[in-house]
Amino acid sequence: MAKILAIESSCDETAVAILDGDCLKANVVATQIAVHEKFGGVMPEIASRLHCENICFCLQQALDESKMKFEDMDAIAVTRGPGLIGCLHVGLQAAKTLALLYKKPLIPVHHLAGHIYANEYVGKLKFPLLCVVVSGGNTELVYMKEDMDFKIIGETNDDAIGECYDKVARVLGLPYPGGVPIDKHAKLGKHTYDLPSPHVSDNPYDFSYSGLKTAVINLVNTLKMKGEEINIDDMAKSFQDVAVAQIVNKAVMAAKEYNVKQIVLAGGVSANSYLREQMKEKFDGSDVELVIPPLWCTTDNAAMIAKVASHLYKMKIFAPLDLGVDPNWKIDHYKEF
Amino acid sequence: MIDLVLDSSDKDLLVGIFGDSIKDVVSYSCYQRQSELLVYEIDKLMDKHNLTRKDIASVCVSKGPGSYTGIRIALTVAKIIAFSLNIPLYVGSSLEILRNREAKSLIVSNARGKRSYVAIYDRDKEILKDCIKENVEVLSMLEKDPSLVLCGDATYLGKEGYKADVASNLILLKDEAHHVKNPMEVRPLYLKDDYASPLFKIVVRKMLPSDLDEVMAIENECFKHPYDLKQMLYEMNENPVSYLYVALVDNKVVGFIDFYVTFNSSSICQIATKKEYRNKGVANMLLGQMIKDCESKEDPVEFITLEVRKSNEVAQKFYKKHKFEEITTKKSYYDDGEDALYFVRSIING
Repeated sequence: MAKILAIESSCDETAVAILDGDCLKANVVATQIAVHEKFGGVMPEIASRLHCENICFCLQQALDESKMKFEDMDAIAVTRGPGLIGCLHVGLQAAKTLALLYKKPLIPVHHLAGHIYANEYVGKLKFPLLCVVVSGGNTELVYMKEDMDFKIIGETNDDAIGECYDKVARVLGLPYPGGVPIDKHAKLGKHTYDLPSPHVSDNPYDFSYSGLKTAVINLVNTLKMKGEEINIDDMAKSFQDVAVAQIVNKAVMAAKEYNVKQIVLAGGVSANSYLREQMKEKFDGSDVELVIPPLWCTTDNAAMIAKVASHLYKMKIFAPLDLGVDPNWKIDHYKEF
Repeated sequence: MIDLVLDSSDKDLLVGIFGDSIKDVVSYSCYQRQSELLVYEIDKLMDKHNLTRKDIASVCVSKGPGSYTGIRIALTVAKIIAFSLNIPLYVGSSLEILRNREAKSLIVSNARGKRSYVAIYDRDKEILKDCIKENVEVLSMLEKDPSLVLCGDATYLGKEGYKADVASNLILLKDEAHHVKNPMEVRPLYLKDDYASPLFKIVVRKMLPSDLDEVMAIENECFKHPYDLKQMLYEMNENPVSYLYVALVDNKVVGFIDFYVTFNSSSICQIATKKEYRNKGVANMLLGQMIKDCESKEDPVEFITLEVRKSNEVAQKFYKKHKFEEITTKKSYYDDGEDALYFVRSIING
């Protein structure tokens, strides 16, 4: 069984994990949320700086927790994309340097494959499978015929759903990141505001979130201009209903058409309680098994990167040391780097 | 045993190995590809000389100023090597390693935006610590002191700079002064720092009649269709909804803001910063003052609106950084027919 050290730095978490076969020996995450909170979003340059400052401390802590040494590893894995370019660079340098010094194979991992395979920490994946990837940077439906076989059947034409939550939260005066506060307020509210369901391109599985975002902003401003009170709870509820319905409806449609055995949630927004609830309502008692990741898997971490890397290790997918990052790497091209 | 030297602070990449019987240096221009190639070149060089990690005695590296991504690449690699192998790390300025060791050097590097990263060394002695200066100032420094030898890639100044033996300068960092106690803690030197506190003290206070001359000078410098004195006086003395503040550095007016508060909304009428004080946090302070004012109103101000010329991308970037959202375009809003973008931000109470 392979021992893998994995590094993740694609956005605002610096993370290092060590996986020994099936046993997760260390899972270190240094979060930057407190820093980005005051800006109302991730500032790429600040995030890159913090990765550079945090990386050695995270590595040291992972070694301490696992009681292992760099020499003990069979491979070094790293998130190569997608993500913020400046951030990806830092993790890549760290991984390549360790691979060079300790003469270990270097494994480039796709970030979203990580979010999907995080579910292997909960149970076995059953194919064919439909994965609903929802995060700050992505909104995708991914079809998997078998292990490590990804096909994007739908994706967002503009903003990602998580981005949309953050912006709407900002307009409503709620903190960053916006997912949890909107979810909380929505629980107390009623669907009283009329917001448009997004229009998308020809592909029925594609998403769109920028229209919904603009609609909320415009509505909030019009109401304020008129001097009308805005009910934050009701606005959050009205927004969340529309935002989540888009995902659930398309997931139901795709699950049927592709005749999948399992449907898997992945990514930061999969922590959203309303999305979880709605998905359960649709799929519980149906032929399709719904897998919902534990909360620790919904945020960025390196354990999920290590998990994918253990598959890639078996497939002997290794990269040369002139590997570069790819902020727009597509999951179906994960073997190309 | 060998010492490893690394630099990727500008457009070049440099990897060097120094040992008792080896000196081998690879250096070439590879703008924006250092992330791919730096570790690769180290590997090639070590292979060529049959070296393993156990042969590395120390690492010398530059920490900036320079391209943000560039300096992070070499420094991250150097940190990881020193940290994982538990060997000494020596860190120096990326200007210092470009100096002429036989002369009094004025070292420059392009900081973009008509500015330079600058340092002065008299042989090995630091005379002027790494800093940022306007390009015109750098050129006048050169003119005033003919004994200065210009070093670094100065083509952006229309001049030719002395090309130092960077690898040899890097290996000279191996001394007590450049030794880093804990490699884990090393940070790049960014200098041009929009995210840190300003380099000088900016004071914001209410605009006074005695500020008018300086304010009008800024008004005329910054706006296509500036207010005349009469309009400015109206804003200051008569307009019941307007609020005016100035930003001062060393008692001189360097910027001002004029905003209106009407019931629960506020709008920015004008905000301007004197040219040579831009990008230094002046507008941040003025906007901060406005938000503070809005928050402290008995009748709470809930949002701020403004119009900005469609062509004024710098201002749009500034507003977006400060949580403004672009809402709509107002067609032919300005007298000259240009469109305005309408920006709004909410003010978070409590």
